[in-house]
Amino acid sequence: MTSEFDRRTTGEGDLDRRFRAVRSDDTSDLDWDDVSGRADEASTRGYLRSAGRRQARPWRPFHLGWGLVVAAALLVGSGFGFGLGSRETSSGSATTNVVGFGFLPAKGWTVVQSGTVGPTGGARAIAANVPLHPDDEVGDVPYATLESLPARGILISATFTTRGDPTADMRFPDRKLPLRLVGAKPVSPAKEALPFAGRVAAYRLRAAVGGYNVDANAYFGTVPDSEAMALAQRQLSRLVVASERVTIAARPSIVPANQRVTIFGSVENGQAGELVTVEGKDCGATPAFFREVASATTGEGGSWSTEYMPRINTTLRAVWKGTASAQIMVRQRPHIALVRLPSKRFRVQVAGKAQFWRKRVLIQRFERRLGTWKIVRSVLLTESGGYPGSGEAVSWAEFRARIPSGSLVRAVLPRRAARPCYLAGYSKLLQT
Amino acid sequence: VDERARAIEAVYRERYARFRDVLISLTGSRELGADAVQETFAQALRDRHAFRGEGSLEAWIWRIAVRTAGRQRRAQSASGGSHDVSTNGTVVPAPAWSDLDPDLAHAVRSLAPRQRLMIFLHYFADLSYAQLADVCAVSEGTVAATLSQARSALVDILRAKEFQR
Repeated sequence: MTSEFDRRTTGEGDLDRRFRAVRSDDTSDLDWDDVSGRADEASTRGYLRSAGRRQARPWRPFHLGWGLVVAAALLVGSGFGFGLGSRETSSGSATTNVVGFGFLPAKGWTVVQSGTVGPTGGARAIAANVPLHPDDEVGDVPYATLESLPARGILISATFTTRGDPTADMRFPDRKLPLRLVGAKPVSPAKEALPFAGRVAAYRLRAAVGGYNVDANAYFGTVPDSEAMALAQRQLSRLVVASERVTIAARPSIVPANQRVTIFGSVENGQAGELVTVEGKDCGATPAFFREVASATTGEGGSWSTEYMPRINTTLRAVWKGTASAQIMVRQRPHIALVRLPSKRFRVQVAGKAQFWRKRVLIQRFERRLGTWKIVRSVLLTESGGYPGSGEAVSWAEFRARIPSGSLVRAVLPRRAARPCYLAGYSKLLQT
Repeated sequence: VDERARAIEAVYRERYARFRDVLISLTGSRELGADAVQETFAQALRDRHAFRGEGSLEAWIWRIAVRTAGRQRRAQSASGGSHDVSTNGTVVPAPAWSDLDPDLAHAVRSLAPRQRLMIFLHYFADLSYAQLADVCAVSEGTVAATLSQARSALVDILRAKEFQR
């Protein structure tokens, strides 16, 4: 009879083996240049890391001069003009006729704004009546601050995403600014398995405002009384929501071969029946100019959406009434096929709008025992042709390889061969 | 390029596959996972001056990675991503390696979020209990208990699956 000890020991050894079998040591995707590029790009877009850090302290009269410096940095750096709302807004409440995301500064409150609205995330704004913990990232939920939130502490975190995705939009009812906490629903941090579960009271309010979906969460150090709710409401009333003329986002932002991407956004006036044109600029195209690739008509609330198959890394923008949106990038993986031929021969082909002739493709075999992909051989694409009328080139090669029967194999076009107009690509798995 | 940027690049080059495996498991998509790795290191590079030297640099990057994966998963979930499958009432992405071991993938999806995270970090990233404690901001005892419960649950599910056959 197997003891509990044996059962567990045997089972866990088996677990170790099975997890190793699904691991991959393939590093053909490794691309430090892309990391550096993204870091630089985010900096220039105004992530305001340093400004946010400097601002992450309670506003007090003797900090006035420093606060002005931070406010100026935000105005210049964000590109959205966050902060103008205080001039444009009457009675201390924000409206949508300003350009910016975030909370207006107020005495005793730390306010931080970061990020830009994009396909995989949104801008985030935080207001707290306690200093933000230095471990917190500006663009993320401030977990460290929430974990140490005192009883009288209040933190409001709001994210802003572009409207236009029907699935997401249906969760965000139309609301006007200022948002009202009475419409917020209590949420349980325990359900989300958050580290501050059990200590912090949380309320969530979703709203569609000015072409953006606003997801606001108010956290209290303890169950809030009427005074705490009133304090939080006053700060929530200082929420500013951007009003760009036309917005655009794409999902997903990385597109596998032969897949469409959903492009969506909204227009400033919020009216239905407005024509929005989507323009694209293909990587490597000469001359490099934007051309119309899709169009859409706005629906209720001014949101629009359409689909597009980029087939190559493409920069997109939306144009409405002569005004262009910010540009977004959709990145593409090439189409790679690995086919088995008679007599231990294989054919590998790569298709795309760019030419892959004389590029090398790696043929990999899955090593079940080690749980890694091993390179069987490197194949030079020696032949080239095209699909008539498609504008796509196809490059291929046939090769012979001795691969044990029952093996899983795949073809990989590494990033170094795919760049600059494609990401690395993989074929479907082939069982020999 | 300063010393810390070089250190981050060294972690990237040395541990890329481990980060990618964990993040494709957490996001449920090879595309999102690979993108999350790049975003993680871009953020680490951008915010490198915020690292205060408390704990290891790699653990700090892992914390960013876990948050990035969560953010991408939520964005995907909000868009009604095709990978959303409910088990135990929660939305859990199917690991991108489901095709290689469907039973294990099914078992992993039945775990609680924290258990799943620790399992991925332990088995894919080879993090020790001390490193896991650092990344998850819990004590080593909690790590040991959580991993033990997770392993036990996985073994039971996998054995039940074998028994059904």
